[in-house]
Amino acid sequence: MLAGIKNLFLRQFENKVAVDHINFSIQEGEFVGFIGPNGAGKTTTIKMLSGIIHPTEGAISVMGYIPHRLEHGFKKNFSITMGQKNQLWWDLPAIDSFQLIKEIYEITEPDYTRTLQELTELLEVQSILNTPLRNLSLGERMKFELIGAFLHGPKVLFLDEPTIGLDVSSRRRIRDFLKYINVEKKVTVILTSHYLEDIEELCNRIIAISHGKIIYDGSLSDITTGELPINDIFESLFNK
Amino acid sequence: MRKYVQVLKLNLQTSLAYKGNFIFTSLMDVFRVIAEIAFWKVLFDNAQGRKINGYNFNSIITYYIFMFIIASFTNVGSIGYKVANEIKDGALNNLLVRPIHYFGYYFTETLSQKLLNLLIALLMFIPVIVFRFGDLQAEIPAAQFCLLPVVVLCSLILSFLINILISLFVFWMTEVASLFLLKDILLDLASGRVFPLDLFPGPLLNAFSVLPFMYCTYFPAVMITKGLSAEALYRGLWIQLVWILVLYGLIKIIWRMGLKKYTGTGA
Amino acid sequence: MRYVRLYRIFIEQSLMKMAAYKINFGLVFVTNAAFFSVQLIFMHLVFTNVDTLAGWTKYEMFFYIGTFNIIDSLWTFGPFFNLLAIPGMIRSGALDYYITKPVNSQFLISLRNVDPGSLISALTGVILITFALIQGGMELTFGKAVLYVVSIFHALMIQYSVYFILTCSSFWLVKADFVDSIHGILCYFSTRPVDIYKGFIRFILSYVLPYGLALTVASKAVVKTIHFAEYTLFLILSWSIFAVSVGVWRFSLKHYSSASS
Repeated sequence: MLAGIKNLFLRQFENKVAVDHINFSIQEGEFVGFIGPNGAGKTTTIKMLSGIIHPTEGAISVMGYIPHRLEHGFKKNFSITMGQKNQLWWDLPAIDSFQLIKEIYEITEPDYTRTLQELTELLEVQSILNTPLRNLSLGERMKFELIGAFLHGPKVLFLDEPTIGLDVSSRRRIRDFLKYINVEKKVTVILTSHYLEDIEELCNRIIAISHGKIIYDGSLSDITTGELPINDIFESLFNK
Repeated sequence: MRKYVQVLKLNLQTSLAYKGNFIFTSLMDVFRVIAEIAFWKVLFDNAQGRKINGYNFNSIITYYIFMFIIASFTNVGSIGYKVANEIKDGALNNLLVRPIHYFGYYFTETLSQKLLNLLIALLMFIPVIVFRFGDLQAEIPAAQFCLLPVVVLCSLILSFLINILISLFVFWMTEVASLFLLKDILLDLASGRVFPLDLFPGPLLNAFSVLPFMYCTYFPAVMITKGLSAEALYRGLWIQLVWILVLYGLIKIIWRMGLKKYTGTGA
Repeated sequence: MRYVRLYRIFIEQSLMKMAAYKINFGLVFVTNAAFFSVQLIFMHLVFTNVDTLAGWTKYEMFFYIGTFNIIDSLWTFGPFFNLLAIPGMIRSGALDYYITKPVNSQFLISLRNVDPGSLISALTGVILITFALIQGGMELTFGKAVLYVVSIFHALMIQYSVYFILTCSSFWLVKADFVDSIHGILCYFSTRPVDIYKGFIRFILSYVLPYGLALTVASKAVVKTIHFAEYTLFLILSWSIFAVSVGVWRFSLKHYSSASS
């Protein structure tokens, strides 16, 4: 039981209910996509899963930890990236930011070197490791963000809009990368995205959220009949 | 002329939106006066009733109170930043094509902001003045009173011109933030905002009196507090006017030099 | 210790960043020297009229001002710019990244950026206190030096904690500009030893927002005699306020609602 959420209920500042009695559990190795319109509660759910926000009621368990206790043991085993918000130093090359990450997560030297080499080869970014981040394109920066997120070998990855604003080929590269770490490294990935190709290609399960409630939880193939394009299926889902 | 009045009205409205900011700044000034009062009280206690450079306790706190009120009107540090940033960012282009004179526009904007600032400062200081009314000591002769607004207005113009002149250095420098900070520190000292300038020994004070800086804040403040002889007053006013002309001329020259160098970068 | 290693990396990386931006150190030095020169000039003029001021002689006062400079420089070296950035991080949601790292988040957010240029400013302070000690014929024993260094550290801790607690208000208010203004006023009051003030003001500066006490104790430890009770009280006060800051941080995070996506 990797992540179980029971009856989550979160009130926000103006008493708007962000997430309303959500209930699901995710097994290790799954690749789950959260979809839904803006303001549906996807990001709020991810923030609760990563311990950033406390739920008003209910119980959450991720890898056996209660996320909002924010124990170091928990934090060492997951990663989160949020859209275009940078974690890495803007003015320095990625390699320097990675040094800091190495120290923060207490990654051993051999693990660090090995993982770094593997990931930079995978995303083909070795040549720009020493270029300051501000001189890189959005796609290149995002690739480094993902490498940075994975350097310490987390078991769970939360990705909030990882491909937003990127061009088609960058998105493809990143999707291949995510597929690789999910399948080969058995990393559980929870993803939100507005791009349907991301959901289609990567996720074996989708959870659709609307107005804070789950309106569908299951595999993608179960709702695609092969006749209607995915867009229409999702549209009808959310218009109910 | 009419367009300047329009700008003034428009800016007064926008300035009102910032009134919270002004109130807060003036409140901070009130606290500063309190700090100075405490300090000078101890100083005069230790001086055993002697006067210090012609000030006693009452006249010194009068100085600080009126200095802060006047300074709220004449302290125009922010305009320098604004001009410098516009030149750096290339936003200058927008204003150069307008028919209104660039600095005239800014002066009107400054004037409206500062008037509001002054008003709020006066309001904030009323409780202080009332509280300490018995202690205050103002020596200004009634006859000079009507000249006070003229002096203060000239102080504002001087302060404005000095700040603009320094901000024009941005045509030749890349990093101006530190320069401005240095300018603020030195200007504070030279215009009497740290302590009244006649604390300086005679020769030094005379040297200062031919420079424009002390006429930004110190001059009107000491006019109210210690009072000036008619001769000293007219001399000071005359020096103010001379410097206004000199600085205006300098600005025009440097402005032209700067514009030649200006290639519209950053646009 | 792990946090020492981390801080070393912060310093290294901030130095690298500085190299990228080519800050004019000379100008920083001059500006800082100018500010304290103004204070010194004022004090010099004051002391042509009196011999002591609330029990402080001219060179003791110079020492005090130099100490103020040193503490202020260390303040901008370490926590200041980080704390200044906190409201912005809360608004943008960048704070989320700090919370989810397996490092103490208060440490990370308070000390991540380092301003090496401030060490130059600290140099003016060191020069000044040396000058004051020599000119004033004051002796510096090893014991006094130790007390001095320890009290500087605790003075910083007090400044940090007060500022940090006030900054945490930005979790609930949108802007926290008033914090820097309060800090500015406290510094203004604290350019003179707290002995100058009486009654209510002195109480606030000593026990509520104890900048005044912090700075005064540090100087007293060297140029005057300091009583065991006063020094110990100062240390206890410093750690207490720090503990409050830790509590406030934990409380704020618990009720954090994070920027919307």
